[in-house]
Amino acid sequence: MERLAIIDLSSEQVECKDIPENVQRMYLGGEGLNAYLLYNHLSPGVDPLSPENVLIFGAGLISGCDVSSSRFEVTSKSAEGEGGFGTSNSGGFWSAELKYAGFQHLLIKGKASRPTYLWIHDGEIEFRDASFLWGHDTYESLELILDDLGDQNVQVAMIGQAGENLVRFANIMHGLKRAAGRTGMGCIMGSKLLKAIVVRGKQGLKVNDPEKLLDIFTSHRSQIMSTKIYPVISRYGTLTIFCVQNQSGMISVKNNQFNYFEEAEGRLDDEIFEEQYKTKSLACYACPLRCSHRYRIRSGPYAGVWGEGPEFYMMAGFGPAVGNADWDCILAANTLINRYGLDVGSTSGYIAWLMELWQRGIIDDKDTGGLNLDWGNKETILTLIHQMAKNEGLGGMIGQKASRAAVVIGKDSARYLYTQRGMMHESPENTRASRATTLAAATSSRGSDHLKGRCALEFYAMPPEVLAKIYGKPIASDFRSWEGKAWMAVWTQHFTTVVDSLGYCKFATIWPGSTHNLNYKQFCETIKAVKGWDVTPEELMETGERIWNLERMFIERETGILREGDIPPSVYFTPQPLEPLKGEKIDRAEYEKRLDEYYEIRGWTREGAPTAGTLKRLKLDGEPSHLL
Amino acid sequence: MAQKTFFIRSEFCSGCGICQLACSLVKEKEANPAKSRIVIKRQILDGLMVPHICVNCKQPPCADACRRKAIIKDTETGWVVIDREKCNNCTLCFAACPFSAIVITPEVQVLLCDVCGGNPKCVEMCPTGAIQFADRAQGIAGPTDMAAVDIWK
Repeated sequence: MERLAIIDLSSEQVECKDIPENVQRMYLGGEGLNAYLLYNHLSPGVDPLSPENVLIFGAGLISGCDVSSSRFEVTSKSAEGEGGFGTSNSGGFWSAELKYAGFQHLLIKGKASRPTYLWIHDGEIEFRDASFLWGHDTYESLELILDDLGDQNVQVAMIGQAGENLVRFANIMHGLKRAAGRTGMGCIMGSKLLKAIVVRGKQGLKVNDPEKLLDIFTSHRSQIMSTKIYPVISRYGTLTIFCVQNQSGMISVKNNQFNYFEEAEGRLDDEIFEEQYKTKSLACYACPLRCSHRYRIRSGPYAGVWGEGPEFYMMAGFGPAVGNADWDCILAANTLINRYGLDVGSTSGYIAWLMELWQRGIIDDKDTGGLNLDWGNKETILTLIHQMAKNEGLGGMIGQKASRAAVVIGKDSARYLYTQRGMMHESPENTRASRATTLAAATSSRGSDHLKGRCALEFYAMPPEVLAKIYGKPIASDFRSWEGKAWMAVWTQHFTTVVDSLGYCKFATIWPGSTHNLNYKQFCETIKAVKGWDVTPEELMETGERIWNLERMFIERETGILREGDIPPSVYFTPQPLEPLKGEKIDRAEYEKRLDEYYEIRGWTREGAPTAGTLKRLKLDGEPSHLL
Repeated sequence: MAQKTFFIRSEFCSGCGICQLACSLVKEKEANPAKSRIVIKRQILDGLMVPHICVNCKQPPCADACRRKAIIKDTETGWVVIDREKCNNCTLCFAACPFSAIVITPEVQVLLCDVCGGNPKCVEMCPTGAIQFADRAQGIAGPTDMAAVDIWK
């Protein structure tokens, strides 16, 4: 039986509850059950940083049982996104370990009286003093925790100085690079004086049909390893996306002013990283993809700097988005950001924004405290990261204010700040030419979310019959066409929500670009073997829709921002300046029309709220009487 | 008869633990790496991942340490096997093993790899070729090089 622990940091009390099977079946685990717990346990209208806010950790329903399924979701009222739906997902070992320790979900409320970390092992939860960790970065904290507990096998989710200093886009780090990054979950953790959650489980999971699960496990592994994307992902990880995306003219260069970065040619390629920096490939739990890399900078001003990562979003955010084509600087920034526990998307996005303000003369060296914000100024990039994490100077102001910084700076600065629902538009994403991706990212719950929105299969010009087979409806092959794209967006959002609720990694699914990867059919097999439920792809799709609608209800309750929050940043409505996609833009009237179509498919009103009929169909209409 | 045993190439181990999950499902019918016969020691900060599994020593120190003669070296196959009838889980073998290849469960039960009867599941599942099962006399120079071809240039 999956269990929930309600942990009150104020009184240091813990209450454990079994999660009823009907609730599990309706919301699975991970993101789905997190959304359900958040909706039910959070009083409407509380300040995100107050002790009344709740922070929920959720392992996936089948985490620890299948390949590539060890992902956990952290959910709370958003610290960065104007009090909306805050959620973020991370891989690694933590999720499986939490399940082996006897819990699927942790709901943390209140505020500790002193810096605290939680030590969770085999069904027991201890509150431990974290004063000796406070002020240390995540690498140091990890080492100190391993020493403190005398166990090298524990898994740690923690915050760095950024979370302690309540930076609005601080993230929760796991290990050296894995992060629940968006919506400032680390900021919420810091506001509760919770430094880390350490788990170790030896209880194991009794599954419904172990023989069957072993067969499924074996076949899913072979399936993932037989795709054409596997050799690429297992060598380069997500870095492989960069060259393709850059040469397609879909990258944000200098805060979305351009869409192709010529300087990066031959300098930021994934092969160069592989040859000159990478020292080892590492994997998340039970995952054959091993898309994480260790690296060391061998020479130059940052010689000796080592770390883990980086992903495509990191290198494109600290590369083209800030006008930098130097791998050394990107990697130095990556190590710094992981140590401090900052979100790469927002950090690089705000730095790019400041640099554009500098370029346009909206801020000068009096505003920046003497920093020179020329594009690609490496020292400035690193200094701003230090400032954000430590809450000093210009960077500190940005870190504390996030999108409200435009009010502080004033003048014309808001015009160049591309946010959505208060979330910084993920800096490298410049996909205005691809319609489904634009629509799905813009309508996502946390705002500007490529992990829910990237309809990757849109980019490959697949034959219509293949697309129809996957999506069940006709979809145009051309990414610039709107035909069928509203449905593609809806389908992708449901799919990614189910994946995040089950705990699978999206890279093991058909999401990133191989139609031969795991799909609903494989999820059903695993659920059958683990839980014994006879679920169908249709039921899972409806589950995804239910979770999506619940998140929408939360957004409606907390912020009231519906349709006006579903519009992509203003820059999407201006033409791309450079080839090969020169002139491509989203037409505003066309977008509104497609948004209507999207709402209609969803069964939402023209304002973007779920109708009573839709809620009834999804069994979301009753009082939450099955409240945990 | 050729005697087969395990060869470890820890430089290829990504630390994923697929082998551990598979082993616990095969042997314990549950998903529980703590009860796997193969252990990966992970030094997270160093990025060092080292699989530990019984390498079927020619003269097993664990068998010498066992007072109940519960651990036997099979002379034909070369495999070191544990007789569960005789074993009283005293863990002397665990202390004696120089390779940290004997596992003690949370319930203090001694676990020793039995090579799945000659077709080890962990080897089948390992995505990088970090664990191999091959003729002791021949070694694995060939197969390991092949297995590693797609990982490193």
